[in-house]
Amino acid sequence: MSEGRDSRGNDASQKREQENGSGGEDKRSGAEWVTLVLGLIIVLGVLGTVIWLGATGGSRPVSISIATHVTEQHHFAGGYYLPVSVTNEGDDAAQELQLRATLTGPGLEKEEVEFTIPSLGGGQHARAMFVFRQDPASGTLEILPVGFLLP
Amino acid sequence: MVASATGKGAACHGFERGAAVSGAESGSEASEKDPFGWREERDGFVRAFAGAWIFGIPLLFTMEMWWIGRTASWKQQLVFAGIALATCLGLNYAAGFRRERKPTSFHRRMDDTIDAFAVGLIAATVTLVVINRIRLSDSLESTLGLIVLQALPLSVGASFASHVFRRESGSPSTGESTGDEDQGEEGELERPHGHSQFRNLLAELGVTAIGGVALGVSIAPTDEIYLIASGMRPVHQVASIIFSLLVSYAIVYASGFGSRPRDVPLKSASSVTVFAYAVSLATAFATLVLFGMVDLEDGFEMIVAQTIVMAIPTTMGGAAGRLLV
Repeated sequence: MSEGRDSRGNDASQKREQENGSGGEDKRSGAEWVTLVLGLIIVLGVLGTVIWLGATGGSRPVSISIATHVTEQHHFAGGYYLPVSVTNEGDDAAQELQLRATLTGPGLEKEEVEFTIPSLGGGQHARAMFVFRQDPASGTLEILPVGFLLP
Repeated sequence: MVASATGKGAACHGFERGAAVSGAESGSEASEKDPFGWREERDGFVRAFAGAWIFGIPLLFTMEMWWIGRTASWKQQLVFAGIALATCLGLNYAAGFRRERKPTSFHRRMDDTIDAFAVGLIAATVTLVVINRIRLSDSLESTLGLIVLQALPLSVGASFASHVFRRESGSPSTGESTGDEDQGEEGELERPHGHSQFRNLLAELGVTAIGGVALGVSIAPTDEIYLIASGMRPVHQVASIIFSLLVSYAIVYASGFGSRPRDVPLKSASSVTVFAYAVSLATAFATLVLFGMVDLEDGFEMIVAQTIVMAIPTTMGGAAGRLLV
C-alpha cells in the first residue's frame, strides 16, 4: 500500500500473492475446502462409476430388439404411421443401424420400408416411426436389423 | 465502499456489478467482511462456468459429439477425462479461473484442476438436460460417455476463464470517460446525460447483437438446431429460456468482471439482462433466416422452438460481447 495503487488496483491482490508465495501461505480458505470436497465427490463419483460399469459390464455384441406399438398407430393422408421401440441389448455400440420392415399378407402387396438410426449405444433405446401405404395391422409385419457399422 | 451487486442506491450509474469491480475496497476490508472466502469462491466459480459455456457451447450443439460420447467405451471415457484433467492442469499454470487467490503450488493447482473438471461435468449435464439430449430412458453408460466427452471442452473453457474475463479498472464505455462524448455542456462527468444514456443503450444493443452473431454463425447453419428443437417439449423450451437468462446474467454481472457497465436507462441488472435476451432472440431468428434454416412458412411452434434453441448460443455470445467490448 505504501507503493500506491497501480492502474488496475491490483495492490491488494499483489500483496496477497506475495504472502502466498513467500511463507507457505498457499492456504485454502474455508470456502475452497468446501468446493474442493464437492469437486472431488463429483469427479471421483463420475470416474468411479465409469470404471465400475466398465469392470462389471460385459462385452456382449450388438443385439437389437424391436417392439411395435400397434395401439399407437395412426392413419393420415394415405399413410399408416407405426411407432416402434428399438433397443440395443448388447454392450457394444452400433452406428448407422439400418432397419427394414416387411409387410405381407393375403390381399396385400409386399411392402418394404427402411429406416436408419445414426447411432445406438449399448443399452440405449430409440423410438422410430415406420410409414406404410397399407395397414400393417391387416397383414404380417416383420422388422429386422439389416446391418450396422462397428465403431 | 462495497457496492451492491443489484445496483440499488446507485444514483449515478445504471447499476453496479459488485464489489469486485469497484476497485475501491482494500483486500483487508474484503477479508474482514468475508473471512470464509465465500464471495471470492462464488466469483471464481461463476467465472469458471461462464468461461466453460462460452468456450464449449459450439461443441454442445454438435451431433457428432453426441454420437461419439454415447458410443464411447469406458476406456475411451477415461482417456477423455485424462486429457481434460491434463489440459486443465496446464492451463491453471497460465490462467485458471481464480483471480484473488491464485494458486502457487502444484497441489493447489491440482485442486483447481479438479474444480474445473467438476465445472465441466456440471455444465455439460445441465445443458444437455435443458436441450433434452439426456433422457431418463437412456442407459447410464451412454449418458456418462456423453457427459464426460462434453466436459472436456467445457473444463478447458473454465480453466482459462480468468484470462478471458480480465478486469478493467476503467472503460471508455462508461459515462465517466473524458472521450469525445457530448457531455461538454455541463463539463461534468458524474451525472449521466440522457443523450449519452441512449447512445450507451444502442451500444449495448449493438455489441449484444454482434457477440450473438459471432458465436451463432458457427452453429446456425447446422442441423443440430432443428434436431434439438424438434425433440424438445414445452418444459425444455421454458428451461432453455431460464437457462439463457441465468447464464447471461452470470457472465456479465454476478462475478463483477470485465468492463464497467454502461450507463443505460435501464436501472437494474435484471432489466438489462432481459433486454439483452430479447436482442439475442432477435439475433437468433435473424441468423436462422439468413442461413435458410428456418422457413417462414413452417409451423409457428417450430419457428419459436428453433429460435429459443438458437438463442442459447446467441445469448452467451451477446453477454460475452458486452463483457469484452
